[in-house]
Amino acid sequence: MNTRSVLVSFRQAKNAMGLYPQEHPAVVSGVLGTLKALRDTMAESDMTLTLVQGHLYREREPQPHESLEFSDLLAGLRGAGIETVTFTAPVQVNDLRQAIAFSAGLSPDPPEQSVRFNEHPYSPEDLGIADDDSPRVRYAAAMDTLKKAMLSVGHDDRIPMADATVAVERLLEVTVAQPAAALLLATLKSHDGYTFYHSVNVAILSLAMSQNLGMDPEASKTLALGALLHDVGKARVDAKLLNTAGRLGPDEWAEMRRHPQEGATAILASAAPGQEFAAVVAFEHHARYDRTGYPLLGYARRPHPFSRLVTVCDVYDALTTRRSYRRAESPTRALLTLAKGAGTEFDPAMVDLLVSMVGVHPVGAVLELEDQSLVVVTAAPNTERIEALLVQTASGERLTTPEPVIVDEKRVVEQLPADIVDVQPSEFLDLVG
Amino acid sequence: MVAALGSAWTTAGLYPDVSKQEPFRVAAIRISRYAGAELRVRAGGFVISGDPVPGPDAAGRLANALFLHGTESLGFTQDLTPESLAHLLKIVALAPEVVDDQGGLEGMVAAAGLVGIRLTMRNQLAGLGGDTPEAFTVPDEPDIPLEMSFLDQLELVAAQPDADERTAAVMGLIDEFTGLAPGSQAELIDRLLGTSRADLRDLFLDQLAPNDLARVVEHLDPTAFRVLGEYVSYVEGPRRGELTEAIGDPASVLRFRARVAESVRERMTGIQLARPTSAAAPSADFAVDHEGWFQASTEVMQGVALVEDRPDRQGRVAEAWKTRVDVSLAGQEDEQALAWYNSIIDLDDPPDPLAEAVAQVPDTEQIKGLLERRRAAAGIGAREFVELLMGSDPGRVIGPLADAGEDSTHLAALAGDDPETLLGAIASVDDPLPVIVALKAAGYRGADPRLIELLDSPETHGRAEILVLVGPSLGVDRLGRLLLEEDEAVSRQAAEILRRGRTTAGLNLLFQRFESEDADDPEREFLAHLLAGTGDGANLLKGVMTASNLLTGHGRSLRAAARSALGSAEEPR
Ligand SMILES: [Fe+2]
Repeated sequence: MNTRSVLVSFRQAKNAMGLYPQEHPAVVSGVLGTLKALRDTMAESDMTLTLVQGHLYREREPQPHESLEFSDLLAGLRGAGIETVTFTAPVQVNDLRQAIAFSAGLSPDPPEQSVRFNEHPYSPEDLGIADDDSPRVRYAAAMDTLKKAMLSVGHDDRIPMADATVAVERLLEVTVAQPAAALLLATLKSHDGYTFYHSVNVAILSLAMSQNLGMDPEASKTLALGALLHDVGKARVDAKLLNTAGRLGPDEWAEMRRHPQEGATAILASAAPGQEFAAVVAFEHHARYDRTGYPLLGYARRPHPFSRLVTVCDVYDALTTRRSYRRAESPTRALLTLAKGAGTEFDPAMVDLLVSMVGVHPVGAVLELEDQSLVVVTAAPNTERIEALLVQTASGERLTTPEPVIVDEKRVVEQLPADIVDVQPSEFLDLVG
Repeated sequence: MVAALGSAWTTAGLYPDVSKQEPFRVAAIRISRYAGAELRVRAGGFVISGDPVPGPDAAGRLANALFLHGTESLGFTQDLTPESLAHLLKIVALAPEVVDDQGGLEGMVAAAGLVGIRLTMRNQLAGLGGDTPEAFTVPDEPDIPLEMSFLDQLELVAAQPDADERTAAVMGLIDEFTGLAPGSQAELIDRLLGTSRADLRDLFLDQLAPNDLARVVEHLDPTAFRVLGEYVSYVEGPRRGELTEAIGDPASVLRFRARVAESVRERMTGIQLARPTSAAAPSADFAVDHEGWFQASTEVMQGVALVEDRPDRQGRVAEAWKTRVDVSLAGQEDEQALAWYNSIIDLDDPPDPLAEAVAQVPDTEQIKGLLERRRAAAGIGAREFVELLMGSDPGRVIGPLADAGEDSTHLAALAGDDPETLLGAIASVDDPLPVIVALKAAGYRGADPRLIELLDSPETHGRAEILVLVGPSLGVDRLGRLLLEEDEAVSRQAAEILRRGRTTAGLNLLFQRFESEDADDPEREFLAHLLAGTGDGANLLKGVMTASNLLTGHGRSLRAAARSALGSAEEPR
């Protein structure tokens, strides 16, 4: 049990409270789940969580992965004026409930006694200076920029294109310097804020493809700006459609299908000279290689090669992510789906490129071995020598510190979607060279 | 009704003789309850009294199929029987060419003697003439496999509030399920286990017999198998033992695992996964290509304009387009600005907001910038742009050209035989004189009356200049009114013309104004000088000088002005 499990259950409890009355089972089990996670992780000692400039600390220890994965939750807490949370063992259920209710904006009274807000036991100096240049921070910055971009599209303002360009440049640097880390980062998933994570992942995948192609940095950036902004038009699509459980009806589809042209319009209205190409990717990313997709292209050519490249990355990341209406696919199954559509929906050359880039067992893939242990791939130069991290032993024990192992492909039983075994491959970023 | 139709359509695809199946019969009965309702058929869905009816994907597919057969509307009467509905759907499922060969949908329905169905067809000739080609293409609804529509049905069932009816409906679905081929069953369970809607999954699995489940286990995807194991671990009571036995005896698990390991490798070879060897050489497609990127962007500008059909959003498209032109012109990228401009003026029938934007962009200042750059050696794009504008709308160019010092003869030549462009430019230019001179130089018949009209309106720019040209032809009364205007340039010009006319009436007007209490000292001075230059006028002024009864302050100022004017007239400098 760790900080992450506390945050997972805290988020569930907070969301449930927003939806249901206090006595609803979802609320009760959310609060109790959080209580259990807290007691497990704290044992007998006290615990303080501090939020500074988007970074989460447990005592003086930065929690870089959680800072990123729970950026929405943490932003919400900061929005509610909460900067530190101090838990004193044993945490009492009513104090916890009060804390969750306050953070959800459902109660004006902050909790007292075993859970307390804003005591600030650590100064910023105590916590040390955050490493502003880590891949994670760059990922988070790209996501922030994208959020701003979508917000401005929703409000009919100009997209901050200069910021987006900087975000893309910084992602490119990571992709060049630490390609494995970049791909691992691109496996970051979140059910909340899907479009943000998804778009940043697509940008990273596109950049990785561009590196495999030996593209000029300028071309890479042009490509990735389009990839990052490809779905900004969704900010003008009714929000409830985006996370709808169940499938969309015909009229909802019609609304959803407007997002390419909405995005293109917003980009054309905001771009400085040289940035306007991002509109091409936004407009064409669902047009399909055979031009039978949407929207109707008013010109005779196929979608631009960059759009075709982004489409393939788009679909790959979407398929490997769990959505409200279907589970995540393993990388192999996702590639298989792409291969089936090669020549019609997808440009066969782009599918080949992606397949050859991510390979049989891509970085970040979760593999189950013959003995039922689980490993996360960190590099796979060939099938005899897959570099991986052992995250769960044959006896089913989760390792807090994963162990580097070399795996022969013959021992691999199957690839698993990460969410099904509750593994976040990007958590192991620091262990990847 | 649309939901029931969708479910009937899905079920009809599953069975050779669907009318005997319970879910289908239920759907048919539900449909017949809507006797009298008429569904208009559109590509992608049904429409009732102008509004699209939401429904399951299957209903959308049925609508598409009906649309392709040329159906305009579909309705039912109370006589509808499951048999007759099943027969209809069977015909609809045929390829349009086949149906056409056998007399069309309407003909086939009539020939089969189907009861309870009311069909109207689109007038094919009118349809072909009037409808756009897009109307005949089926929208790109993602192709949902059968198993997905099964989930849709399950979702409908789950929404059923009555528990007994819900159970009965689930049993109906299970009947359907057991009629499927084992491969399809496995696919369906696979999808079911893949959905994050645990409620749907449990709703169905809770009532599925263990041996039905056992049959599909072997064909399941590994991940689905895992979820199934999880599901079983939640089940309580004796059923849990039954299920565990059905799916999980050790031998079958081993068999299963071996098969899975093989299938992973199979898949890999199936899609010919190549190991990354060396980075592929960048093809021209991926090289830096500013020109190509820019061209694609202008095509997308046009594409967006073509595809956007809502007026409010068209306004946004117009804004975006204007931004492109503005940004390019501000960066002095005249060729790019021209390309953006062309992307819209090339459209046959641009939407209104865009047409309006085209009429306003580039604005006068931007045209002036273009003209300046056109003069510079490098202004190639600017030159083309200006020529394009001159060709399509010379009125917008003439004003800036005049301001840029273009001579009147050239302006007149540009305006061709249309005085309106020159008359229009008068309002916008810094110095209207060259335009007005051009107007006179071109010798347009009827130009004077139009100028005089312009003179009447106090808002007209350059009235003093217009007055220079048309003043002599105006009557004294008219000039007298202009003399009283606040606009000093106009009133002084009017005074000048009156003086030059040297009529008694005219000079009297000038003198009256000179004496008027409304005139201020500088104006009085000016008028006095005008009068002093003419014989009669000088006499009038002398009268003022000698009038001994004018000793008030006011009279003193009048006399001072007269004295000064007369003095300078006598002693010219
Ligand atoms: Fe999209």
